Amino acid sequence: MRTVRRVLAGLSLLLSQGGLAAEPADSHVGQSLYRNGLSASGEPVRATVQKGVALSGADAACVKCHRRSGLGGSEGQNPIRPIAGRLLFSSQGKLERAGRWAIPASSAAVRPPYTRNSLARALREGIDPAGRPLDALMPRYDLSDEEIAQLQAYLEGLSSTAAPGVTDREIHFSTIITPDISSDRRSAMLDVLQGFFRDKNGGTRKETRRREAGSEQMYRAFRTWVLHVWELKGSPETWGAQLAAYYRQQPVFAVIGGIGGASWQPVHAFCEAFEVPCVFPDVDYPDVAGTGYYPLYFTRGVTLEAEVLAKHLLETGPSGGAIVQVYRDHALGRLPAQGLREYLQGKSRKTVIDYPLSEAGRLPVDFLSRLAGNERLSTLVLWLDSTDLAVLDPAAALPDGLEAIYVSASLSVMRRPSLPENWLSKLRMVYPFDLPATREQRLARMNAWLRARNIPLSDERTQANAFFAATVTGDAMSHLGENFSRDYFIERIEQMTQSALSPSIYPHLSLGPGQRFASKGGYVVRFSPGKGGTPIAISEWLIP
Amino acid sequence: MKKGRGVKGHDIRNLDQRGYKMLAIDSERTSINDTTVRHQTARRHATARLLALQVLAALSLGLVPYPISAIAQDHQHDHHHHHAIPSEQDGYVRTMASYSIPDVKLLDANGAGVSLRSELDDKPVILNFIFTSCGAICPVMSTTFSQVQMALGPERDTVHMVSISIDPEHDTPAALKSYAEKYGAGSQWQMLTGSLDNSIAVQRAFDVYRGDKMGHTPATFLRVKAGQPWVRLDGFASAADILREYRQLTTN
Repeated sequence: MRTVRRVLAGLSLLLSQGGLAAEPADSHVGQSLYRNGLSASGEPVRATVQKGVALSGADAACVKCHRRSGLGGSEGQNPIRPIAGRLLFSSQGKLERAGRWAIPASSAAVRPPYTRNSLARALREGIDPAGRPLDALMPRYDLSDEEIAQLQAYLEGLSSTAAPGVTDREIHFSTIITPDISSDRRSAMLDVLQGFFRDKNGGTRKETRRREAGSEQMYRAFRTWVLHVWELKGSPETWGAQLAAYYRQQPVFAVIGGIGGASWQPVHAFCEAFEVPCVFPDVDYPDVAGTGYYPLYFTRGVTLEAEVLAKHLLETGPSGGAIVQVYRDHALGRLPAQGLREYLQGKSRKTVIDYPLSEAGRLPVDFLSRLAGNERLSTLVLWLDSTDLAVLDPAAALPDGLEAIYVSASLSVMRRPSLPENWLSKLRMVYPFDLPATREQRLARMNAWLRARNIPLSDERTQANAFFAATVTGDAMSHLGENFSRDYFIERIEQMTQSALSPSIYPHLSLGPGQRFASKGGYVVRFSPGKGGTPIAISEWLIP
Repeated sequence: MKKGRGVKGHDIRNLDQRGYKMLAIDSERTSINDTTVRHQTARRHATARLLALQVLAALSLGLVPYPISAIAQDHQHDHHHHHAIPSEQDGYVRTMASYSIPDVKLLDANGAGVSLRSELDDKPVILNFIFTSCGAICPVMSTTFSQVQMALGPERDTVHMVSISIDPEHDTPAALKSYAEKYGAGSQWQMLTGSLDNSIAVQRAFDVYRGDKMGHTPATFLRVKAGQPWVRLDGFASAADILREYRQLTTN
């Protein structure tokens, strides 16, 4: 069988030489065709799928199905073939030789290598090099010879080499910690990640021998996992340079987890610039502009909280009066205040009064009475962390007519702040997490994992987020086989997050092509009276 | 082999170990047993050898492409294997079914709450399930819907077209609004989202819930009025197919 296919490959190679004359190829234009469905002149490409359904531009772009890596995947019952050059321009269909991409879901996966001619025929007529029709979902394109050459040039380079951070024996990962993180929180995360890496590398004494034997991709793909801890120092403006230096010293395949207290923007920019997947850091201030490809986040952080609250206020809002929001007057402190204001803009007639506190300022004892001026203060929003909340004057009388006080779960570290009883009765919290009762069940698996490794449950959010980031990375890596492509890694996580078995502190996580925030909503809760105080939802799961 | 192989077994000979595993997961619906799989797998090897020889022969004679009808046939039957009774039409399977529509509140593209049951009761309905970040299947289905809308012309106001998101948390009303604009949806074509639980309840009611949006399969549903059974088209029904089904329903 093997001999037959070799002969076959040789023959088609011979045939290809009598084909189209080689065109000047430009893989950059090819990329635009591939990713955006746009030709060199910026015109959308046109194509037809079965029975005359016409697609054009982005809907007809290769990336839409074959994805950025070109390594394909599946949707529903439709297998989507890999088209990265090294697989496309080699013969496919034999398990041992071609790797997991060629494992055929049907005999249609067995074919000789593509050539310029057969690529043109596949794109225009939907016929594969073995003469069989491609799936009806594969568009039939209206492309010139030149465009096909451009596409071929792009495909030849696509996912053609292993990403940096992968050697013959090791795969390197890092995690990133900003300088404002407490040592308790730092070790809570590192205990989980390091425990996971120990597990991953443990019990694998035969794997290196199997890898050297090289008979199957599953074995060849084995690498020892190495975790690097990238600790940032100084001000955020210097983090970019620090990260670049860390990376130059030891490139990593991906960044797993990480914790950011203040801005995460410099890390986000690093992930984008170096095209390094940064998988589910535990942060309250992710980049929410939505322009990133490589950073994946749990939520939109405080911006999400602000919008959840705005939606809640719109739906159930107090009967009248003003909303006063208090926040720290610096770039990050302003974010939630701005989010709330913008979401309410044009949707609510209520007055929103901002009360910025200077960077070093304390809360004045009598500030509340002065805030609303002539209007009744009905809603007080405190975008303050637990330290700031602690300085609220317990003796201060609440303004007349105040209906609710809202605080942020992220900024309060998910705990009910210690406030006097008259405050607590009006206290509400924006809570973009699963509620304790269901969360406890969902996290049972992680808790058992921690116990078995003698890791104390010290910080549920930090540990659960690290655990999820690590396990989803592990699951995605096992799908990659030896195709160490970062794009493919991202694509696998996009696809598998929804059905990941790993528990999390969010009710449900889900990504999809291009989606970058896995949890999309939040509750508003009050607290049961008494010691501790259990959060009780007073809203549905709100999605702004 | 071309005829009488039975719908259940039609693509088994093409499966390798991984394919077999995938199929085994589906076995709830297809009820294929191991014996069949083994039997068919052996046949697959024989077919593959035959195929390679044919390729070789064809190539050496300079005959490219070579038509092998058996393979083309398989391809045409790809959509049939979950259903006991394949229809005559190529590309989709038509079945009749009664569904109990859950009494849930969904949101339209303007963010207004609507009751699904009463929304579906007023006119003949053409319905499908989509999500806006979907790669392969939804652009085809949505383009098909916009072709249906176009073909109906002024008559389109007598029908209610509905696309329900299976990724409701991502597909906010605003996301659906721009999706609707992209496909030129007229006022008779409504996009709906809602809570995850409600979306799942609706998907279950129409028997399209696959646990994970990426596992979805194309399906179109038509009903002439409340109380009547639904016509279910599994697979890629074209605009012409949908229109034909619609005419058949509304003229009877």
